[in-house]
This record gives sequence, C-alpha cells and structure tokens, in this order.
Amino acid sequence: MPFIELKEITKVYGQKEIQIVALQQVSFALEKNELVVILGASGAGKSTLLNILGGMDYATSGSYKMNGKDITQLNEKKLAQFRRRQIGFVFQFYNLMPNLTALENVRLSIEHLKDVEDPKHTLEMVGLGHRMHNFPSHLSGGEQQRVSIARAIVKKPDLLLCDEPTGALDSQTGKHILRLLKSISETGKQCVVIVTHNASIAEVANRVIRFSDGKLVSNQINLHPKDIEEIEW
Amino acid sequence: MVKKSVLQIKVGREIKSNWKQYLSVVFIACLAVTLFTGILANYRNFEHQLAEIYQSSHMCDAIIMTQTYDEQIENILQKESITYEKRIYFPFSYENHPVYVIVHPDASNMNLPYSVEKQNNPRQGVFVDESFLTRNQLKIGDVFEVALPMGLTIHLQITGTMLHPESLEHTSYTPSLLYMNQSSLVDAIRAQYSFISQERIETYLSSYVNQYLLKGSNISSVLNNIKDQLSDDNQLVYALETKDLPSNQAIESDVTQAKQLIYIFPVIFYLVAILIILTSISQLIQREQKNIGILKALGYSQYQILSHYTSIFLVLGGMGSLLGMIFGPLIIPYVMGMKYQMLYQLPQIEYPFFRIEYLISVVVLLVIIVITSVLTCHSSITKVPAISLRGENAVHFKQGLLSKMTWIKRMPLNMVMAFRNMRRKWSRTWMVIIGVLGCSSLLVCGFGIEDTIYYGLDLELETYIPYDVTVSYVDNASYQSQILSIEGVQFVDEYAKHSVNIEKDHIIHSNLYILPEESSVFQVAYDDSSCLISSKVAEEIGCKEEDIIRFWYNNQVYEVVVTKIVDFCISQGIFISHHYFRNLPFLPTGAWIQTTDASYDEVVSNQIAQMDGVLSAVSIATTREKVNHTIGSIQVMTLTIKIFAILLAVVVLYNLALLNFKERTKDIATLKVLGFSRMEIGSSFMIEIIFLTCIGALIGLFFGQPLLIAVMSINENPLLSYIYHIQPQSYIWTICLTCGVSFIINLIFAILTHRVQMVESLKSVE
Repeated sequence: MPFIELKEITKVYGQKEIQIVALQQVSFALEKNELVVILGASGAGKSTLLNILGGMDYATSGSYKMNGKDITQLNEKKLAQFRRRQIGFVFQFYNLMPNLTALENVRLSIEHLKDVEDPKHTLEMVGLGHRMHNFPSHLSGGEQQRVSIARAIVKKPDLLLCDEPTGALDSQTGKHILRLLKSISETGKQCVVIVTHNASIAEVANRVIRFSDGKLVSNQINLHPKDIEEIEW
Repeated sequence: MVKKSVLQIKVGREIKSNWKQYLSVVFIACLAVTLFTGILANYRNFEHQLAEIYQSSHMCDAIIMTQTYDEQIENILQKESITYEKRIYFPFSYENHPVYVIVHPDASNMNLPYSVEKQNNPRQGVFVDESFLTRNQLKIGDVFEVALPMGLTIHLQITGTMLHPESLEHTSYTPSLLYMNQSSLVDAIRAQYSFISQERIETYLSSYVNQYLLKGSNISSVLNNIKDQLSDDNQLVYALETKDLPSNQAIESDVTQAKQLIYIFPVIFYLVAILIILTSISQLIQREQKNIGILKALGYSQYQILSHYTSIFLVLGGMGSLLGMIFGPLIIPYVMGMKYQMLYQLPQIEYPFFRIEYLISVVVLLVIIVITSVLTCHSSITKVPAISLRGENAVHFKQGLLSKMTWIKRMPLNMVMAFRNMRRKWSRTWMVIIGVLGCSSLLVCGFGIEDTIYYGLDLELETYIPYDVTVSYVDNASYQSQILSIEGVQFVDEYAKHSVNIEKDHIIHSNLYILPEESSVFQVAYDDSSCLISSKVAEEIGCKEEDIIRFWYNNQVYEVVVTKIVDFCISQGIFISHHYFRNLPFLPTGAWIQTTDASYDEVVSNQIAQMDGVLSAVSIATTREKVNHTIGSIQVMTLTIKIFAILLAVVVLYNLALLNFKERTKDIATLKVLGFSRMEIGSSFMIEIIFLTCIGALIGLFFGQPLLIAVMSINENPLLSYIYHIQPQSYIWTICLTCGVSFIINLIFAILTHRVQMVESLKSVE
C-alpha cells in the first residue's frame, strides 16, 4: 500500500454557469522518504493539488488516501486534526505570526501535540539557534523561510508540503533551503512535496510530476537526482 | 451625464467592499448628531414654549413683594421711569390645600392668563386652574368660600379656568392659583357685606396692595436699588426677576438644565466618533499604503490623494449625520417632553423641523472628519512613492520588558499574541479602553440614577419617616384619639404643613412642617427651639448647620437656627416642633401613622378615609405607586442612557473586532492551516478585546459617579431631592453588560473565522 494514493481527483471551482476545472482526473502515488517536485506553469493546478494534499480544500470527486485512510471523507474538524498532526506546511511568503518570536512561531505548531521535536533543537537544526528570540521583522527572507520550515518539521509530520519555498529568495538562500528540505526527506520518515514552476529544482528530486491545464502530464522517477550545488538557478 | 473620475469610482467600490467596517462610522456619526440635534431641539422647543407663554401673557420682567403697601417703592419706580402694575397677592387654604389669590387691577396688562376657558365670555371674573376644580369637585359657575386677609369671608363664583404664567407647575404638587380682577372682588365683598360702601372697600383694598409687577430696561439695577433702600425695615419680602421667582424657578431651571444637557452626552459621543473615525482611517491608510504609492507614481498630487481618502469618510459621516439630523429632533424632544408635560402645564406649539444649528452640528462633525483624516493620512501621504510602494510597513517588534519576563514566556501562545497585539496596535488598544470606559460610565450613571432615587425614597420612607399610612385633614382639627382607637393602629404623629417662603442667602418657596412636641413615627431627633431642614432646601437657600434662616408664617417673620440638614427625598422644607410656636394653636393638617402589622395598612387607610374631616388616607404601598408614576419620566431617561451606552459599546467593539478580524485574516488562515480549531483561533481574538473591555469597564466604574452627579444636577426635579448612591449590584450589572456585549460580538467574529479561506488568504502578502 503506497503512503499516499490519489485516484481520479477532480477539482471544479465556480457555479453551474461558470465552471473552472482546476484538476481533472489526477491519479498518482507517493512513498515516504521521497522528495517530490510538482512542476507546472501558473494556473496548471499544482497549488490546488497542494491544498487538497494538505487538507486545506476538498476535492470535487475522486479519493485521496494517506496510509490507507480516506482523507476526502473527513469533516472539517477531522481535517483540522489531520493538518495539525500529519501535515507540515512551508509557504512562499512564510506566513509567520508577526507578533511571535521565531521560537514562539515554532512552538505555535506543536501546542497540545505529543511526540514532537524540541523547538529549540529544531531551530538550531535549521541554523537559527542564535536568532530564536527575534521577531520575524528582524529576520531576513531566508531566515524567515527557515523558521517556517522549522515550524513545519518540529511536529514530525508525515507529509511536508512546500508551496514555492524558494520563490521569494535569492539563489544562494534558495539552495540552502532546498538542502534543508532534501535532508529532511532523506531521514526516511517524511515525504516532502515541493510545488514550483522552477524546472531546475526538479533535477534534485526523486520524483517529478508535471501538470498542465489541470491534468497530470507526466509522473517520472528520477533515478539520479543531482546534487543541489550542481543545479543552475 | 457627467463621467465619474476613476478615484470617485474607487471611493464607491471601497465603501461597497468594506461596508461592514464603515457601518460603524455611519452609526456613530448618526448617534452623535442624533444626540446633539435631539437635545438641542428639546432645549429650543422647551425654551420656545416658555417664551410663548411669557409673550402671550405679557409676563413682567420682575416682581417686588412687600408685607403691606409701600409708597417708597412706587416713588422709586416712578423716578426710574419703570412701567409697573400693583396688585394684591395672598394665600388662603381651601379644602386643606393652599391656594394663592391674585387680585389684579381691572385694566391689567401684565401677567395675564394665557389660555382661558369660560362661560358666556365675561371680560373679567374669577379664574382658577383646572386642577383646583378637579380636586375640589367644582365646575365653572360654582360658588366657594374664601377667607380674605382683612378678616372678611366672601363667596366667589368661578367664571372660568385658565393657565397662568405664575402657576406653570401641575398643582397636584404646588398651590393652586386664583386670579380675579378688583371689581369682581369688590362686588363679592359687597354681596356679603352690603353695608360697606364701594369707595371704602376700594380704599381698604389699596392698603393691601403688596406686589408690584415691573417691566422695563435695567431692571436688575432698579431691584438692587429697592433692596438697598428697603433693607433696614422688614417690609420687603422679595424683589426678584421673573426667572428667579419662586413660582417660575423650577421651569426656568429646567430650561437651563435642558441647555446644559447639550454639553454632556453629545460631547462624549462626538469624542467617540472621532476615535472610531481615527481608527478606521488609520486602518484604511495602512491597508492602502501600496495603492498610495501607485497613485503617487502615476502623478496624483498629495492633495488629490488626501481628498480621495477623506471623501470616503465625508460620504459616510455625511450619511450618518443626515440620518441623525432627522432622528434627533423627532425622538429626543418626545422622550424629554414626557417629563415636562408631567411637571408643567405647557401649551402645544408647532415646532420647526429644521433649524440652522442642526446643519452646523453636521458641518462641525464633517470638519472633525476632515481634520482627523488629514492628520492621520499626512505622514503616509508625504512619503516618497518608492517607500509607499513597499506596502504595509513591516511590523517592528522590540524585546520589551514584558517579553523578557519568564511568566510571559510560559503563557499560552494565543495570550502572548493577544498581549503583543495590544502593544503593537496601541491606538486601537486605547480606543477600546476609552470607548468601553464611556459605555460603562454611562451604564453606571444610568443605573445610578434609579439607585439614587430609590435610595432617597427608602431612606425617607423606611428610616426617617417610616409611616404605614399618611392622612390629610380637611378642617385643621386633631383626630389623633379617633385614629388611635382603630384596630391595627400603633402610633400617630400629627403634623401641620404650610407653604412658606424661606430665606438665607436666597429666598425660595417651600414647606413648613410643624411637628408634634413628641414624635413616635418621625424618627429624626429635633428640639423645641431650632429646626431641621431638608438637604435640597438647605442647598437652594445656601444654608448649613448652625446657620440662622428666616421664614414667613402667619403674617410674621421668624428666625430659627438649623440644627441638622436631613437627606429627605420627598418631604422638602423645614421641620420645627410645635413648641417653637407655643403662642399659636396647633392645627394639624395631616398625620403619619404606623400600624402594628403591614396587613392592616389598607384596612386602616380605608377606615380613616371614611372619617369626617379627613380629606385622604393613603397607605405606603399606594404612595410608592404614586412616586413610581412621578419618576416615570426619569426612568425613561435612564433607559435612554442605558440604551445609548450599550449602542456605544456595540459600535466601538464591533468596529474594533472587525478591524482585528480583517487585520488578522492571514494569521487566522495560518492557524487554520496549522490545524487549530475554531475555538482555539477565536480565543486568541477574545482574549485581546475582552481583556481590554474589562480594563475599560473597570476604569469606567470610577467615572460613573461623577457623570451621575453631572447628569442629575442638570436634571433636578423640584419634587425630589437626590441622595447620590450607587448600589454594588449596579456595578456588577455594568461589568456584566459591557463584557457581555464584548463577548457576544467577539463570539460572532470567532465563529466567522470558519469563513476565512485558507487558500485565498495565504496566496500572497497582499
């Protein structure tokens, strides 16, 4: 049984007269310890897929299972619990709470959760041990994104979803973030999914899924992923 | 068709898309203008009614009253070229109720009745007020007996009823007025005493002239001149301008109070309007920072950009204030008018729907909006486009003292966020505190008004004079032994009550209570040689304990030492033992009775009412019912204050909760993504606003009492004395209501968090 299994997932926005099909009959499976890159142009449906994977949106039809559990059947409350326990999110624009320090932002995602990482240790792991008491406004973009990653991984999620995690960063910082994400996937316990339109990132992934106009156009396994230092930004 | 500019279209769309936010601006503008125009309309209408009465009755400018005719006064008035009229003014008692008689010259042209109903349209005659007929079950054409001060008793036939400018108060509380011309009096005397010639009667009457009605300029200096010249003899009773006359003091002071009222509540609401507009503009400008940069980059001038944002609030403020301009003059004068109609006999007059002052109040509010907008927008608009284009300023936090405290670090993160938010949005924090402070102080004031009135009543009816039945006699004879023989009666205190003028620094018209030498029901200790005085009368005449006061009783002036000022609520006047008047017989006018058990109250009062010589017997329960009716208008006002206070809280808290919600939409979305439940997310909201509400409400409690005193002092009721007191439960109610409103509003917003779309809110910084 695959870790994640999507079968004929379709997502339609809008009412009867004006309907936009964001995802059409999408099916694929993912395993743990994979670094997956989902590629596609703007409007291809990759963010919609990410939202469905993260339990932030409902699919119009089809099924989505994680560890055999049908996520599409969960109600709002159960979905919230699912996001809280099993999903880690990294956003393009970080979405840190401006009035919490880096450490508090990390602590925020593990409130009321058991079996989690130590937030200080996690921040040290992402190289921010010395900035943990700073507010987001005192951190650079790369540092904020690292806090965002620390916030996502501190709860030891099964699935780490990253929406354009390097989109707002320069090449050096972007590579640093990618290295971090790759190392997380290599621990063997988590599946890391990166959504991006930057094709060069795909070269470091174990699996590359391409989207176009809401349809899955290819699902390839990369047997020889490149080292991050080798890719051209 | 004129094509709208793009910025005008933007104004329309901004209002349309954020109408919930801007609703509070419209609402507070409406509230502020409603209160101002309403209270102003009330004052103008009331003032107009009084002016109409004075004008139609040719009211004089001042009245001089003496003990007997004084030629010296006439000489002064002639020398000063003052127009004047002489008349006789004396009190008498009919059916145990005081009546003032005015005997005016046949060709009188001052202080005329202003609304007369009569049979056969006689030009002159004997006119009484309507309640005189009602109380004594008389009708026009009936004859009744009057004892004249010259020792004659005559019969007068009632020609008609009237309203008179010197008897504006409803006479159930004050003496009735009988108004007659001299010829009618002469005829009535001759009808009874035909052996006295008309000339002799007229000469006799002229020696009883004791009032001079004055009209002219520079009246106050003439009055001062007369007071100076007559200060050495005991002739002068008073020399007062119309507004200071005992008969007109109450209504004149009510007009002044109606005017003063304009400056209390509207000021509070105008201040809150400024706060709400200030916060809304700040929020808009912060949100529009990037758009301001774009407009500047496109070449719009600072003035154009400023006008654009100011016009949003001008449109909203204009809408609200126009509504207020309509509602205010319709609602508030109607509510306040209930009080005036209950106290005074006022003519029905048509009032203008529009007054220029209403427009001025709207313009003032709009000017305030413009000034607030300009001051708020100035710093954002003067930035260079490059800085504005960077968008909303990054939120810079510092590691403050609070952040370094260990216990703060251990707090749940939603509390940490709430407290940091308060510090971050300090202007909003202050606005919640001030807005809620205003609400809770108004609520304390509203509750306090009722507490004050009932506290005073309870103090008098349960502590000072704890009677169970009160009795009024008809014929000034004692019925003590008869009443004591009734089953269930325990104690009887007979007393005599007379209307008198009392003077210390000022002269006022009030009551003299002559108490039995030993009392059982009246619980305040008194001696034989001095007097007690009610606190209201003491304040009005300017006396304190141990002072000597003067009063006129039985055609004699008395001077007496005040031993104690007592907080009486209903019984106003001075209280003296009969022993003080030992040369005069004790002629009781009523009695206070205590029964052995409350179940006897109604039975005893019914039995006493059946007795000959008893005018009325009323149980304590009925008295309380009557008082409740009397203070009905105050309860209306109290309710109005409470409603406005809660409306104020709703507007302030709704505005702030909505602002908080909008500013934190992205945070809410993030928390939802992180898997927080609706209540967990909602609690982070509630902690902030409810904490601030509690602070504001607690501070407001301290402002409640001063506000209560301010409101009550401009709402003095001549029938009641206020003993300021606020019950502990009123404070508890205030906190519960304020925090309850805050809780409900925030609960609604907490529930609304489920509408925040995680996907949409997290797409980008914008």
